[in-house]
Amino acid sequence: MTLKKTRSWFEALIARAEGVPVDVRATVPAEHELHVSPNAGFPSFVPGVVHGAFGKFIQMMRRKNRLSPEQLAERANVDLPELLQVEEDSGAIPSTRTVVLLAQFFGVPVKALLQLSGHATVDSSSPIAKAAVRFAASSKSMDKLSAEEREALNEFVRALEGP
Amino acid sequence: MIAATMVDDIVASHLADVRGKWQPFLEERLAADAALRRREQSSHWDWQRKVDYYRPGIASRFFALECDGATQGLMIVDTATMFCQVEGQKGKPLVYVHYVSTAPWNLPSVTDRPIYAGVGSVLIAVAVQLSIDEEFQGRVGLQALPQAVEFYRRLGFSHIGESGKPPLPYFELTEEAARRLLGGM
Repeated sequence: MTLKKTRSWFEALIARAEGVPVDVRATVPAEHELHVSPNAGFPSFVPGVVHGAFGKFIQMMRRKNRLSPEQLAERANVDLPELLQVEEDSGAIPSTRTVVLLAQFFGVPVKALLQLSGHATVDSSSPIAKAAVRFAASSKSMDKLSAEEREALNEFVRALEGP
Repeated sequence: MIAATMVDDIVASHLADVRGKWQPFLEERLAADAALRRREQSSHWDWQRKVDYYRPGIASRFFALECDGATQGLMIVDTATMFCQVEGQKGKPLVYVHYVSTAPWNLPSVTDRPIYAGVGSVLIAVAVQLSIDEEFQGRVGLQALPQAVEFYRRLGFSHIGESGKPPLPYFELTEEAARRLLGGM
């Protein structure tokens, strides 16, 4: 689901709802884009985040798109230090804002990435958790994705998108 | 206007914000203002409990609005268990808003200087867009707290009567009103 409207549309909406003219210094938002994945109904018990899978995933998607961390941070509008920490520190939990923006940028389901990044609990027997374990165990990083890495990445993206 | 992020789930960090930011702010304001204690009608909502209650429902949908490093609004809706009551669309499926809240620092009823306007409006617009996507033509239903009656009326909702225990005003957005709300953009 996408709710994508112009700034003036939001101004008009808020003005109508509040019943008063809008003070532009005190209002939200500039632009909303909400990318919604189909509700795959993942069970929400047993915290079981696979360490390192999220950072590895982001790094590989970045490299697949031939982007430096600086370029990705700029184009996805995320914080560069946070992005670097996410890629390098397997214990780092990114902000939800960063997860949402990266999911939208790479075109993968937001909800699945929220689980992968440690924000929503995931059952260790779920398809995503199993796929994340396989993915996290796969090859070390190099500058250019090898054919094996590319295949592992594609398989993992399919797992994120669900049945 | 500033950019905010809409998240299509309510996760631990949002609930942590309710406990660690919303609640203390509200408690401080309630302690200072007895009249506010009488007026403020949603302070008893325990979002953790609400999320836990609706999480198992396969048609439950959760939304959070964030900006400025904090959760600004939350919403829980349902796309399968409730049906229209308005004549002309009676019995048809709709998106039912179980709960929607904006952070207390955004409420003119709580503070003299609300920080962000439009959080509730945007969340309701999200509910209407969801209704379109579900092919419900924008039909949305909800029970409004008495303090919010004018807000929903201004958005184009029709006041149908009272429902629930204790009785709260029931509002429904017709297909035509939904079209007017979302506009031609």
